[in-house]
Amino acid sequence: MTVRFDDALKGYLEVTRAALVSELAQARKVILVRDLRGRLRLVVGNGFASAGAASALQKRLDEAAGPFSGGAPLAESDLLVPSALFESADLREIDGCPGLWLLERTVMGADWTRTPLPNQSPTPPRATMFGIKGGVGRSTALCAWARHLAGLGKRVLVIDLDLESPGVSSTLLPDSAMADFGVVDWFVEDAVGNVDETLIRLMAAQSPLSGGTSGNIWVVPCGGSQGADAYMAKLARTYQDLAQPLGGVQTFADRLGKMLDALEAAHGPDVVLLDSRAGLHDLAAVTMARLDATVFLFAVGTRQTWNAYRLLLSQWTGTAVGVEVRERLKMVAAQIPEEGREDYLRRFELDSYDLLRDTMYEPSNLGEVGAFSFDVKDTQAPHYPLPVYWSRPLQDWNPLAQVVSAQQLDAALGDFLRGATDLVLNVAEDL
Amino acid sequence: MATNFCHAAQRTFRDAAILEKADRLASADHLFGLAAECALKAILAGLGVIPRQGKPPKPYDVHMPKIWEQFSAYVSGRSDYSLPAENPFEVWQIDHRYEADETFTVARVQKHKAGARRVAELLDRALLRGQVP
Repeated sequence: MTVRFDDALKGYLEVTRAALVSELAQARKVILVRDLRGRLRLVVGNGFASAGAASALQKRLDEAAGPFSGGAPLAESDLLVPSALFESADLREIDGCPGLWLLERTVMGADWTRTPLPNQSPTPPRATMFGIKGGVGRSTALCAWARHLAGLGKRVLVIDLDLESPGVSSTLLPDSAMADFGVVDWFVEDAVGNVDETLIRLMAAQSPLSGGTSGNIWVVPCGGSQGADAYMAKLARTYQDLAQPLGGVQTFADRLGKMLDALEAAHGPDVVLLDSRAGLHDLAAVTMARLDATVFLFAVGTRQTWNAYRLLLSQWTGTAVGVEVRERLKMVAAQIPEEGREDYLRRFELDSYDLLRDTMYEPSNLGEVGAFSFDVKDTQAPHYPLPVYWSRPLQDWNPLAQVVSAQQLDAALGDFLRGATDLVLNVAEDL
Repeated sequence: MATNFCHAAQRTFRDAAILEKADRLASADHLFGLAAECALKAILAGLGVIPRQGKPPKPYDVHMPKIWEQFSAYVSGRSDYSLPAENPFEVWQIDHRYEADETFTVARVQKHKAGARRVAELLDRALLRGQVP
């Protein structure tokens, strides 16, 4: 029978698990490495009792994994610097198999399953606006929320991280008041150690949208007005890990975290809003999984949306990273239609509940105090959506020209604005 | 001759470590430079940049410190094989095998050892990613 990608890992694990009490009994630590092509191979701490034991096991592993078998097991001593593997932070212990670890070597996407970046405390509250699909009003909601927070007297820092599809910065800043530099500028300057206070200061510009409020809105665009014609040349150099002179590597995620810390330190915001790009992209992996931010998941109630979210969330089911991430999630029901709102929302609640229950919640029948499980009607639960109602006037909204009245804005976004503010600032708003 | 850059890198690195422990600093220094060169060539061969057999073509037919620069220029950033911009083998030369004993200071050897170790980690990584033949 043909062995496919999914069967290979299952079969390999089964054989390895059984071998933990035979050929691998004396191993200190067994690491199952899945390489770039999905081929599987064991690296064994302490090695095998005999060469015969290794080849007997290898025969069974080859049968289990077919074309996805990566060849003879390696002993620790086959590596030049074994500690780099055996102490790697990317090792994941296999459930129910102490001593057996999995290391995924992928082309991209490693940040989804890495633990959050260390915080340069104290950080202001951060919120990530994410949509598994684009075009659901994520950036519009962000602009309205920035204005709402400024109305509460807050100093808001908006960072446009939708680098492949910049938008929120041109909505919030007129061309004449665009910041000189942006996110991609920071990355190319950082690569040659050329970031200084001036650059950080010139990356943010104040939006006129906060006019008439007691707060203000600072906006960091994807790219600034300087060298706008070289945006693609900078973007193409942004997703880059940098080896450090004294050892170690600064990953793209580390660098993004560093940029955020520097912007926060320089601009002193009360709250930071991150416009993350849509879909299962590496940048979203960082803004969702690795920054200490409340993550708003924008969704419309379609099957394709729920299925796509399931692909995303199921990778965290039962993992340590999942435990960290689940605390920070909040669903947003976007573009709720004008007709049949009640029915639509009820169906959305149920679909959202099913998704979160299957992927992120703990079984409620455990009956444990503090178990991460919720009732479908629990408004505080991650699955319970903050609503954003579809509105014809909002489709044409230009925040800088104010073609939408305060009432129209409140009708569409009011519940979301108050709910999101409560959640992120953790304070009851004075209504 | 059957070329195997990976074997060459592994044995040279291990032999260099033995020499260094035995206080044979000059030869240790020489081998650390060769080990790092072989490891980079093993990765380049694994990635298909140079042939697995025979003498590497230009501009990869060089020793340290040039091979470090050529590798950095080709394999950078997201490839997971990035090297620091500062080249630890800047003062290493293949011709130093003719040099007088007293020039091989502990500091000099340690710097080259650290550089070789750095490259050895990349070679291990390439091995585990299935990119070394």
